[in-house]
Amino acid sequence: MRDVVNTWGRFVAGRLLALVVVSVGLVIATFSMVRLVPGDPAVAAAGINVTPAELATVRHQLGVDRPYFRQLISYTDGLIHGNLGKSFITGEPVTSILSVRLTSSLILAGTALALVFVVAMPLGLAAGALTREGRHPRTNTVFTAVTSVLGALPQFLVATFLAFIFAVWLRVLPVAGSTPPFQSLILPAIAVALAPTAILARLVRSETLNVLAQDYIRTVRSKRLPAHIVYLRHVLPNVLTAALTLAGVIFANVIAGAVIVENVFARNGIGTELVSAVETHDYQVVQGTILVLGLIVVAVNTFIDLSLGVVDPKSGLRR
Amino acid sequence: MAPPILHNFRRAPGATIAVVSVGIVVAVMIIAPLLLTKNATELHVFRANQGPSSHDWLGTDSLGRDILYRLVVATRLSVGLAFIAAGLSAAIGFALGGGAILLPRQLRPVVLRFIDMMLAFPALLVAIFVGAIIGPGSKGATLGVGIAGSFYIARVASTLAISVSNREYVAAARVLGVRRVALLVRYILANTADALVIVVTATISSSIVFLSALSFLGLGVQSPQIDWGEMLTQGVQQFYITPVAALAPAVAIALTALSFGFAGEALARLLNPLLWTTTDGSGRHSKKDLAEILASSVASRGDGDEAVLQVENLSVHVPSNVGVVDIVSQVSFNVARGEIVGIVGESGSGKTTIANAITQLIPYPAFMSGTVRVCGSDLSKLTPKQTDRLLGTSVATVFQDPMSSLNPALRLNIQLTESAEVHRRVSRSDARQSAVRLLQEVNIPAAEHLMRRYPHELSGGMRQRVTIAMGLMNQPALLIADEPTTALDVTIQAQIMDVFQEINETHSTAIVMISHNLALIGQNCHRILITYAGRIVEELPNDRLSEAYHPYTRALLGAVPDMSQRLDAPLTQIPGASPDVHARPAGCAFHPRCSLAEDVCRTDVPPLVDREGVRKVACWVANRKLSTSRS
Amino acid sequence: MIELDDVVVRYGAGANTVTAVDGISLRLDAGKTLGLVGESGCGKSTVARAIVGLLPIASGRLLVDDEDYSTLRSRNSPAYRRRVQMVFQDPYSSLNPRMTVGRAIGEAITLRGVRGRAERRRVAQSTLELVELSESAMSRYPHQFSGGQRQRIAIARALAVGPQVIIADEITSALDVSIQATILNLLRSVQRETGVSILFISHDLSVIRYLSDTIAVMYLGEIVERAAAEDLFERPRHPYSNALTRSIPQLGHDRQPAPVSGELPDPRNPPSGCRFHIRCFMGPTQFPERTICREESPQSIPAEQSHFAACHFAGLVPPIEPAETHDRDMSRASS
Repeated sequence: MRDVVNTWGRFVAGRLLALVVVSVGLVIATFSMVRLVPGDPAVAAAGINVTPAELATVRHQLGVDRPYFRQLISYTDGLIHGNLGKSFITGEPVTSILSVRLTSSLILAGTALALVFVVAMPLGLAAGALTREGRHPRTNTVFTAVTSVLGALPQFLVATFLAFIFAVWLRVLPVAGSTPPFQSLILPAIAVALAPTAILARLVRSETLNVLAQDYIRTVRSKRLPAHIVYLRHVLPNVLTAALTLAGVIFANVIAGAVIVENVFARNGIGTELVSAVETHDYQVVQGTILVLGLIVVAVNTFIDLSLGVVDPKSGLRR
Repeated sequence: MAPPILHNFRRAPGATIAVVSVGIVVAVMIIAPLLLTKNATELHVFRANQGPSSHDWLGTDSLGRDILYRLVVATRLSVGLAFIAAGLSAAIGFALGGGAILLPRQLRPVVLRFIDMMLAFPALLVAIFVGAIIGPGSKGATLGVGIAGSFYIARVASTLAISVSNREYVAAARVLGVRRVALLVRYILANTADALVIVVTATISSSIVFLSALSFLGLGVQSPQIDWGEMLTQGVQQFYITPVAALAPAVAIALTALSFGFAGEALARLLNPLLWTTTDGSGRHSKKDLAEILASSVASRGDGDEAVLQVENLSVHVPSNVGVVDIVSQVSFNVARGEIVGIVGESGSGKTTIANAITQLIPYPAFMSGTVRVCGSDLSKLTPKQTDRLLGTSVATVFQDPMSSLNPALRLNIQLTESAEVHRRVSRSDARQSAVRLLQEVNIPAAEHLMRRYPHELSGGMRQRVTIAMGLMNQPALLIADEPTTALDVTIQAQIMDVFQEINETHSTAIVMISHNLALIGQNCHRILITYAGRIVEELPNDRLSEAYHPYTRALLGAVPDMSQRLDAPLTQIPGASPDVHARPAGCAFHPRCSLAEDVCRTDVPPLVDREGVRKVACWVANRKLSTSRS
Repeated sequence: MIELDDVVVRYGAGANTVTAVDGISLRLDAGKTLGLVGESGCGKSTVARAIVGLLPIASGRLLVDDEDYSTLRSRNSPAYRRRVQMVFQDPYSSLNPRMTVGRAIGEAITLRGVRGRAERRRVAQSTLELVELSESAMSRYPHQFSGGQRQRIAIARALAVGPQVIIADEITSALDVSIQATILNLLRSVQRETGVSILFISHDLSVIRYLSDTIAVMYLGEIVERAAAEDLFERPRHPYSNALTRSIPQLGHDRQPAPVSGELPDPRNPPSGCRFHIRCFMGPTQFPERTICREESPQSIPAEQSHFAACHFAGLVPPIEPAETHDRDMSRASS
């Protein structure tokens, strides 16, 4: 019993430690961003047509008039208190700028993620079952071709196409904005989810074929059990592990996709905010946004790692 | 052997198209701006926002510029910058990935962990991050995309390098004193080149897409420079008026990215000698029609209800690109209740295929002809459900590799009980009790405890016992053991053989034991079948093994260095090699390697002739001598 | 010739360290074959890899012609590599799939120090002749050959260096019986022609018997018995060797019940005293008064002459029924 707690404990502790280390690295990286800007960041932020006095104010706001570590400490202190600084352009606190938009973006990302798994897993499994041992070669070719092409389509392109077809041409769904919530979610969610779904479906099919070729499936077949038991009880758990390993990458892809797609559909989210902040050199907002997004990604990945530890029988943690 | 380039490309039209497209794109990238910049930048304000016309094939944009010209000229930045970014990714990626294997062992996990972490971040965010520092524009965008893409390359490069460096040929090279640099280039790089090519071209593809994305967002290429992403931004604004303005660059991005991807895969195939096909399908084959095969199979006679298994004229056919090939041919034998029958053969003899045919598990697209009766029922006359029921309860199989024949994701209890639950509708708790009893019967200590374990927690010998117990759950009349101890140590093998003998004695379970180990079969079976090239060449009781009639059997006996072998005599060598199923010699398949071969052996297949009721042999020479010595 | 003196080899780190070879002593004389036999987990492959410089020796000495090569560095030197070469188990993975046979053998010839095209070619030709492969093999890739042929290529590659010692690590385990016979005969003829010494490692006792002059039996990292080949089979002095011999199925003999019970213990945590005592049919599990097996690790007790067995009760091990020796050359069928 103690053994179990020890291995588990070590595993969890290790992952949490990694989480902390990465988060710290992230804070330092985003914080240092402003200091890496070539030239005078204050000028870059405020522009050239500015009085020296205004420039000094901006410099003070940016905090670049103090030594590096002092700045870092006050920044971190601010972070702990939930303060991400203020936008240069509007003066609003970054946290309030982000909070509303974050929800909207997370809803989009979450919906897209759900779509990806709900569609790709059964599709991939079915495709694998159908094309095992080289059966139905035509289905195989079609499936591979379709998933290859769809998986290579950039999300912003898909978003553009979808906007055109459904909103402009057919006038069925709204093209811009975040209201009404459900209908305005469909197109962006599909745009974000299409490519990753195709890629995941291909991976699931390939993994299903791998599993079906394994010796233990041959053993199961020799027991002459019905198909649903073979696939659901024996094949699925082994495929799931492989799919989960990819979940982290897919999540990252979905977040990035959401960032872009929001701009196409003019949704009021983090993506649109980030882009405009970069264009206007609003460094505080850029810093804050990337920090928040980065932390979310790291947190999700840690969670996936932990789940894999539970689900994957070969991880040695299952007793 | 030089790579047969043309031959390979002819067989893969997709690859040819992709490579040609890439060539065209690169040519356009270089040439177009030199010739067409003027056309691309000419403003014709009065012709703004027009759809496709004879003058402007793709229409005009908001400033009246011809979209087609702009599209073509934009290729330079869209693809050129992508090349630079990909080059940067590759440089950083290989350095990082290479660092992972060249660094000492302790540092390796740190580097890998770092790469994984960076990989977890959305590449777009990394690119935006870098871009934000440098400021919007093509410089920042290229740098950002380049850095962002390096982690994927680093990951793949390090994974590949590590897996290849663990291969035995690398160890062999080290023993040969091959120096580090040569090792890296001729061994590791040479064996990963094809995968790396794919990774690099994929990065070029994704860089094209990424850069367009950044330009689309306004963070990449800025006017007056043109790339497809920038065109897309402008085109989106004219969406409702002239959708072509947006669709054109979109299609350009997608098609170019795809072309690079496919071209990369084609190039990779070129680099891998294992994929170079030479000629296809050598050798002679019997070309038979499916109907003809099935029609020609002899109608079964159906005698002997005692027999647990009756196999008559079993053949297994595989369609190949030169016709139908028989991997098992006209095999007939019976197994009586409580009998242990051994099937011996080397690789390619078809012994495992025979077992698969009996349990109806021949992999697609092979099919069988002939009759298999289990406990009196002809399998071909049953419905799928009946077949499942019959085979699930009367026949059990124990496979070769115990390390891989149990599902690693499930505990042992469900794997043991599911067959009984499904076929005999036994409740789970009852099934578990039977399982524990059977585990005890096969000498597994702490059986109850073991039920909750996972397969990987047991040794090979234990797993094999579990597999045997699993097979006995429905009290089968027949147990098929396909090379059950080949993967086990000889002392454990002896233990497992004890288990088989006990089951046979206690439950009268018939056993068909398949192996390449003649001595093992000789000691453990009542009757032995020798297979060669898909046919049974001899059948005899185990106590007459040393007096075998067939030349192949006798050669096998002489080739085994057993304990009574004279040490100064060389082992019997059989010249040549086992025939490939696709190239089986005419007549007796063994004739090219047989010292007794005569003319008739080269042309006619010898039938399996019954001698003395318990012995059969398929050899022209042996049967002739036996007949003449009789008369 | 080659001598190992109380050699210990470990691998893994921290909690996962395994002492795979725990103090073994071996001696391979010039022009002879030493067979090293044992089942999985006994450490025989680890011995091979250590000798050939792929693993470090934690303690003990390794000498070749009385020269000390105990450090990993010295075993990685060209001087050592020219003397000691290895043939690996799996013919499907021990040859670089991207190199032609000619180039693979070329690596060996480079190590040997032969320069000049004509000379190198001559060496390659003669080596291929030794293993009965035609010269046309030089321009082909490994995947174009069968398992048995690939193993011959691997042997040629080792021979091309001109070594004094060849270590053959389970080289026939992945091959069919009829092909195995070819390789074994080949090895014998190569030894006759070149005088090379062979350390032949296998789990198959009958193969070892056929090829070896002296045999050492390993169990869980230790050598439990060492004897001349005929002596070992006539009368094994260690219960494990006895059990191993009796476990092998023999043509023409009735089967016996398994002489060894139980499973191999975890090499990370070997049993106290004699490592075999838990499974030994002469140990405390069968004879409770023999507690010494549990408490004390037996030293190698020389039985007679050069026949050593590490067992407290070596003298009591019953002899095995001698097998009848038949002339097995039955390629001439007679009935």
